[in-house]
Amino acid sequence: MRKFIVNRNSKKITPSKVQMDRYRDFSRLYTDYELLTKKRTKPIYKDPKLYLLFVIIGILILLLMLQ
Amino acid sequence: MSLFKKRKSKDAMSEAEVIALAKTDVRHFGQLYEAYFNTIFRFIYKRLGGNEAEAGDLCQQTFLKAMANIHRYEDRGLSFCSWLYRIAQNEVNMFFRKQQGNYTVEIEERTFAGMLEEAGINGYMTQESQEILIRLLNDMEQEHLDLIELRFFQELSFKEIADIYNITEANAKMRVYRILEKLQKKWNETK
Repeated sequence: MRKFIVNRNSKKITPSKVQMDRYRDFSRLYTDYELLTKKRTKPIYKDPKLYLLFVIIGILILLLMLQ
Repeated sequence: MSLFKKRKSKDAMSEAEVIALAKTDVRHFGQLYEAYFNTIFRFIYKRLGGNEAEAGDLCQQTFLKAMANIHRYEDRGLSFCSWLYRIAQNEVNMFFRKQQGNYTVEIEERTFAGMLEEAGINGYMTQESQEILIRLLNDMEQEHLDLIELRFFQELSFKEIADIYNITEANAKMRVYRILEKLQKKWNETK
């Protein structure tokens, strides 16, 4: 945790407007939000069910072509 | 004409209306962000003793959490700002925990003197006495330190503290004064 120390040079601990403006950026926040909440789409080869379905469809097409 | 009447400007919208809009479309959260950014940044900056870069990161994290959980916010008579304060408070405490006691927070001599006065520790203070008092303060429980910090170093009102902790104003006052009594007792024991 933190420990306190007394600042003896009578300097006020308050951020300036310039300092605050440097960090105020809603577009960055919105991008971070999108990254946080966006559903990641799984590639087909990583989804076993979908992969199997495509294999079956492929086999069926092959069988139909062979007939 | 009626069409113009129906259209409300963004400025005329109440905070509750903006929150309701933000719940359906987070892009409206921007108005809340603009309205409270300075307050929350100042709060975190002071709690970190003037660490600008960390304050920037924690402020962004606070608003990101608020944005992601805006649908959970319920107006129970407390201001939206106190909800943001609560998130910021958690973020800062989490940061302190990660530092494992290696983080020092600078406090203004003026606010420290104000706290001592309120605790009934008056009279001329040598630098050595101040150091002893700081040590006593640092030995206190972190939850107690949070309250002392909010009241004296952040200079929040009892109402604001009560809103952050979701307690009554009288309860906030009582908690703060009990901690001050403890500090005074410890100080008297050292003398």
